[in-house]
Amino acid sequence: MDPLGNYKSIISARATDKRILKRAQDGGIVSAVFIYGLENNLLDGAVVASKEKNFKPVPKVATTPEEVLEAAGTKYTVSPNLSVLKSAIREYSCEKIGVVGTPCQIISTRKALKYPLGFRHLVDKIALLVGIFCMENFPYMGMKIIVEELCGVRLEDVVKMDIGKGKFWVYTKWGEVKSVKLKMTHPYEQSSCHVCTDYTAELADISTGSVGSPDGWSTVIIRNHRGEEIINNMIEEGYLETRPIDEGKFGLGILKKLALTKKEKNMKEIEHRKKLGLPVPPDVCGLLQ
Amino acid sequence: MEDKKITVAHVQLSSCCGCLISLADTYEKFPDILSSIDLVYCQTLMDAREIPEADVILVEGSVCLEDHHALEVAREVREKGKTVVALGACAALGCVTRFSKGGQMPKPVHGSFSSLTEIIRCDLAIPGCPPSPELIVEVITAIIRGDKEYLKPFIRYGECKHESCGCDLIVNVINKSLCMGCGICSASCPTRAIEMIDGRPLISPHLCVKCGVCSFQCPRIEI
Amino acid sequence: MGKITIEPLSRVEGHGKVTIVIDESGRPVEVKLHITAIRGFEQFVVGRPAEEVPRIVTRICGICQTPHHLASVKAVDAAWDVEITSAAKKLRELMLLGSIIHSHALHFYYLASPDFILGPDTDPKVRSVLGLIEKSPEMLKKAIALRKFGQSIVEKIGGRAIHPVTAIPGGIAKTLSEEERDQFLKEIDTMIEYAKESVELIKSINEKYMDVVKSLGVIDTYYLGIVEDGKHSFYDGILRFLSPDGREKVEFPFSQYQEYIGEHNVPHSYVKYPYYKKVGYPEGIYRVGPLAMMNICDSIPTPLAEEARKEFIDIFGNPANQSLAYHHARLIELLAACERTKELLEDHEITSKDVKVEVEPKAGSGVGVVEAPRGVLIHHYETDDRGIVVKANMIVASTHNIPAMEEALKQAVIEIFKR
Repeated sequence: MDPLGNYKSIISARATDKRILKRAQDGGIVSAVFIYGLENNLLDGAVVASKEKNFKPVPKVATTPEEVLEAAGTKYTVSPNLSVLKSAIREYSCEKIGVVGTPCQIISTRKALKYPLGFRHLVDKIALLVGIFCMENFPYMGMKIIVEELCGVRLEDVVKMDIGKGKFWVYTKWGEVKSVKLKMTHPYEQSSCHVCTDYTAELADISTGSVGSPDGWSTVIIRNHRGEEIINNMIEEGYLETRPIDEGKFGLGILKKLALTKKEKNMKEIEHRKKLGLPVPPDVCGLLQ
Repeated sequence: MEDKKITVAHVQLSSCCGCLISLADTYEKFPDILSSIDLVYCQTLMDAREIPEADVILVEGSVCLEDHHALEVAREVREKGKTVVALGACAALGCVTRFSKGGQMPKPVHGSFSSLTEIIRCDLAIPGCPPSPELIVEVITAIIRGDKEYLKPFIRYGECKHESCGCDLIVNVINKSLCMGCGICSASCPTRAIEMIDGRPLISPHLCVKCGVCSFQCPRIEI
Repeated sequence: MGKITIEPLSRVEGHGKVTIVIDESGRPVEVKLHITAIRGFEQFVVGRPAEEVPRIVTRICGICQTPHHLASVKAVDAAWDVEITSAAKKLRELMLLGSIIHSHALHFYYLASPDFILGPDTDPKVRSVLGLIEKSPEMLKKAIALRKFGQSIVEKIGGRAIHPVTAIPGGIAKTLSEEERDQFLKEIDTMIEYAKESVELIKSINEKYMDVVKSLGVIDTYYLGIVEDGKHSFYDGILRFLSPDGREKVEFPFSQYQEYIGEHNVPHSYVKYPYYKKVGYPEGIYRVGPLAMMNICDSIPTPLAEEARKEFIDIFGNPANQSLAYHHARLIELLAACERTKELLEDHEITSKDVKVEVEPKAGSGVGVVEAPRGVLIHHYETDDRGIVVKANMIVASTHNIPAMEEALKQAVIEIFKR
């Protein structure tokens, strides 16, 4: 079993629009996909994680490219994106919705599509699921401690956060860069993440993240024909530039390593909890229709 | 040779009829759905007076214990139905009728409402207030096709003999270090009783009608 | 001597049975309508914050949940002396109209029409909406379209089609966007056409069955409904009683309903029997709903429906007392709802964002009334100074009609046995 799940192809890519790259985390793939979708009538709304003061994440239904851009950039904390899913169909009257989410959020959405018990008139309106790579997330106060105490930066001064090269990085509006070893952030991880075995959002149409590609680029995993169609169109029409993924140690190699590490580490935690008689998450492979 | 259609009966106990209306809200597809089954009893739509034997009996509504007629109907449904489906949260879990406590004229003694699953053995139970039209159709289709895999969660709900509540999310998910804040519970709640605060659901007990949808949709709970 | 029991009552929402007792000469001497369902909502909303009750009481009925939602929130507004904005009022009215359109289409086409379209002597197994799929698919398609339109309006404004959530004390939690309004405007003319065709259909049906309509279920009662400036109104206004001979009109504001409506307990039924207090029980039994509305209003404010109402009066008299004329009256209301929907959609205020005002919970007593598909719906709550419900009284639409239904049944049974 491929630790990356099922997929048709993997590439490195980045948006060509400078506006996106200015605000993006890496290659700006999520923003580019949603903006392309909105501008070409493939989507009429996108469920994204926007933010308020002090990096507080706010789930939002974006219906314009500007709103998508505003929500660009990773928030290293819990953002319940799916809580606005119904709003997207009702208040926002969307009929072609794109959803971006962490692997667990993509799993939730797939379950809601297979068993739409509480979601009247949703099933035919989800047009695209974009997953982002995720090892673990942090509760808001956990992220606050990492930034303010471990990195010594006030949250209100932060313009970007990043995880890479074994460290948690914080970029301030004054141009400073502070970092702390990832090891130090472990105590602040959300413990419910430790029973998840999905690093690359295996149930999405497209999965993307920085791991496996050079700085400023993102790895894009194209999993099915829906993902393939939109990415190919975007490449053709010049919204994305691409390069082949590095098959070696610093490309696919590290991506597969991290995916496998998450599975192995967290399977151990799952077994540990089972021994304690605690409930563990159910198996999800049946959710891909 | 044409496949024989399954016979379906729809029975209402203490329900508001919203589950049947939900099925009717498949709009243009409703006549097709009705034509794909042999509807042999449905008090709201046709004049059949005796519940016949049927392959599938969909029952909506909870059971009022002081109403001996309701208890008889529950027993009759179990005898005459090959597959008994508790349709909707009132039948599956009690739903809003869990709050009924009698004291209302002119029958102040009628105050004890239990889910159908607590009174008879149910083969399947579907939570939701009401369950979405699409889901009811999926379940009926799965029953026709014999897709036990798809029906697994509903078989499990058929076996449970208790209520459901927004607070279940607290006990079964948050308290068990399983909640990762995806927000699907909040989106699925029919009365908007769940708000996501700091990445965790906050349940308003005054709005929760105990329909069971949030627990059902949570990806961290086995279904 | 014997007893006939018709059980269960079919093609209605709810549970009921009819028992007829016959004497030795074969004459019916007793006819009873038993309504056999109760869940006790009035009791279990006590102790809850009043602003949350509108979202729970929708579960009283799965077909007319929207009227419950709106009557409930109006009661809370009244208890807390809240004046909502004009735009909020229009949005709530539009939500109500959406549900009237869905429910009237459901009631007539899905439940009642099979008797007329397929004939009362058709095998009961096919004399239902199932038979219509075969015999009248085009007609059924239009009924479905009407239902879908009505439910879509409720969905857009109420947040959900079944059990809406957006009516809050002080106004409404959702606005209508211009795109949504434009989408509805595209469809409304077709809906008005379908409603007009429905009225033509019932007229031709009535012609065929006029002897039955004018002989079975014909009783005299008082009539109750909502009027605004004397005209037919679904959402707001005052209550008006009309005497059986049509000569006396008594009007009163919603808040005074208890001075005019009494409730009588009968042992054989789970509902209380309401009656007009000034006359007493049983002389004061009254009817609500489409037939009553045709009688009590001076006119219907929209042109096509008013024309249809005038025709109705010509055929059935004023006041019309024939129970089977309800179907005709119902379809006139369907037309009125469609026309009024168009008026509201064309009103620029319908997309306004000014739909909420500040609310201060307090001790008070408030009555909220709307015309539900089956008639006058009353919610009455008393709250304490924290805004918690301490007492609740709800008179659902059908309840007003139960005593009259029983009388009409009696009359019909006697007529049938005579033949």
